[in-house]
Amino acid sequence: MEYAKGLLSRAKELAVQTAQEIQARAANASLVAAGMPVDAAPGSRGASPGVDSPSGGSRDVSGGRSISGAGASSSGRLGPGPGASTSMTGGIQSEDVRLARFQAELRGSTINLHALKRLAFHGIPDKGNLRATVWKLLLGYLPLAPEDWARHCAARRTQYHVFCDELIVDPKRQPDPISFGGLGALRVGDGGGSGGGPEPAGAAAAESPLEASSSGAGAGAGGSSLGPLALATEGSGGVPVDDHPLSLAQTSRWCTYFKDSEVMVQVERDVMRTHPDMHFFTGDSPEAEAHREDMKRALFMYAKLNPGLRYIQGMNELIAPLYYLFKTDTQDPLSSQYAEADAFWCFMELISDFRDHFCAQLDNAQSGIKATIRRLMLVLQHYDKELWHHMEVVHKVDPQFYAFRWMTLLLSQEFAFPDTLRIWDTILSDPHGRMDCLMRICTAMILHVRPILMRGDFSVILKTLQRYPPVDVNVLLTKAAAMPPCTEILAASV
Amino acid sequence: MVLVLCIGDLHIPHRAPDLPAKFKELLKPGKIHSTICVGNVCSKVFLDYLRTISGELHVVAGDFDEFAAPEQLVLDIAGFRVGVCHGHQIVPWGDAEATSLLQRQMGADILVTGNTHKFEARKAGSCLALNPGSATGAFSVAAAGSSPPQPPPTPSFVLMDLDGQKVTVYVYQLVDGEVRVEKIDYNKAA
Repeated sequence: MEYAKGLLSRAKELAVQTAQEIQARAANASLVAAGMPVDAAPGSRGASPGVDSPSGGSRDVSGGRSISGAGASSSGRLGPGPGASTSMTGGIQSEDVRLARFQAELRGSTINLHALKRLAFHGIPDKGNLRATVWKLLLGYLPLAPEDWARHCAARRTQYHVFCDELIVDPKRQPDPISFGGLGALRVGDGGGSGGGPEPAGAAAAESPLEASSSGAGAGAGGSSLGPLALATEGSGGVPVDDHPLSLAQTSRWCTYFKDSEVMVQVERDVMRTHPDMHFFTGDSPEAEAHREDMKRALFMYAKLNPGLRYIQGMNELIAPLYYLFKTDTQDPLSSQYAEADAFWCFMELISDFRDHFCAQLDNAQSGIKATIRRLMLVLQHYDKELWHHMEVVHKVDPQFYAFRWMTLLLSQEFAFPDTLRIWDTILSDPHGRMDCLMRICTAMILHVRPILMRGDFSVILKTLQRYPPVDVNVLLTKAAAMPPCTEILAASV
Repeated sequence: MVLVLCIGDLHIPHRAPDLPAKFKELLKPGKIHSTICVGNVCSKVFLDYLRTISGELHVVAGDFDEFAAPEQLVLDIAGFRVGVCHGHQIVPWGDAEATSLLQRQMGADILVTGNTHKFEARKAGSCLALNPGSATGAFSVAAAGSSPPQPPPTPSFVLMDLDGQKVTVYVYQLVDGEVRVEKIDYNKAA
């Protein structure tokens, strides 16, 4: 309790500073609106804004209520800011305070998801390596009682590896009646043999993911033997088989294998192109290879488990941040080891909101991507009719040219990687839902570059929006936070 | 896991009009890595069809072929040395000893020959001698001359699955209008 009181008093101190910073922010915002570049702190490393100003001393452990409607939240930027020099020291303090608040929140016997969401809305501090855990909570992967985490994770991870085992078809492997037995080496790839397939970590881990069993390399070497005995050596003394590589039967393992290979080729093509600027994903190093294999497998599993949707180009961009985060999580060693399984489940959860955007058949339906983009345009109209008119009517810029990628990939392609993580903090924790938050941020993005758009013609508009100019994402997020939920706007405008 | 198709002795158009329809159904592109043709395709046009089945086509000259091709080939596929020859050069036709002589000359792990129009898969020491038979079931002088009179050859071809040290031979035969598939495993090391 002492600790909580300490937090509270500190928060009150900072409230005063916050007020000052809000003013500085407002000055900032007007500079931004005038189109002049503000402090270009690249990516917002360590710039977690938002000391929540408690009004009237709420006593919950998290220490404060967020100023959701107030618009400006103070900048916790560590670099020199345009505001007074107090903002620098204020920034460092607030980062630690926020970190402390997060840690306090995660310490209880039951986590208050609502409070966590409010905290995360203003960004999760990069220090203290909390993001992976918080995201897992926000995506519903971890249960709310920390003591259940180990058990729950183990169950999910085992389930994932069981799926891997069952669904990745190795046509040479004898179907074994004892489910986990007979693990064979995995060859995923087209018949041409794309240089030795990956050994799934799942092969060995199917037994028990909690043991530090290494990847299936061991299992692969031993387990790949089928009946190797030479049978009759003269004439056609072979064993009659039903399943053979050229089989066209639906139940044929070979047939399934070749169909899967086609999906795998697609997945591979996309995964190879994920974040070419990051060593984590690109290059020939064995770690990068391993990371790519993991992501390929997870995406392939999703395609197999969702035969209606299968794999669509772009899904790799959604799983990449999740996998990166979990793999580099130093908080929990198991988390890094089973990053693939965790990322798979979280990806399932994340994409469930946005599934319909990926389905081509639903393009024209109520829930499809075109409808969402239309709704975005309605919201934009509400805020800035002139701008909308200028873009859509005068210069006939089809919003699909830019908004499609924004919405389907959750803005992961528009900003630097750290900024994407920061934006996803907000999207995942928004109380009005992820889709709503995404739409608001997109609207904020368009409004932010209004001066450039108003002055420009078709090519300028397109260039600006497709290659979004560098910006401090906190400005956009603040703007988006200040907007009422889109559902209200859309209801009103109908 | 490399799939190699071995096919030959088609004699199109002289002794047979076309591949059996059921075989054509099975031979769809996309699954097979390379094709080895032991010769006596005869028609150049049909050679082009064979080229569409997979990415690579290796063909040797048979005694009735209408195009130029090498007499013998030694290929390196998936770590196996595969020797290809039509077999009319091996005298006596179909003789096991003479065939293994050729195998030793080529230094091949797997020797694929034709000419006899009869499917055979024989292990000779550590080497494998394969004969895919005739894919069209064409008339064969070798078979006709023997007594007691033999029935017409069964249409057949072979698909090899080369995987590490193991070769799995799938033989496809057209028996009574139906495709029958049999599998034989060989280990290179053994």
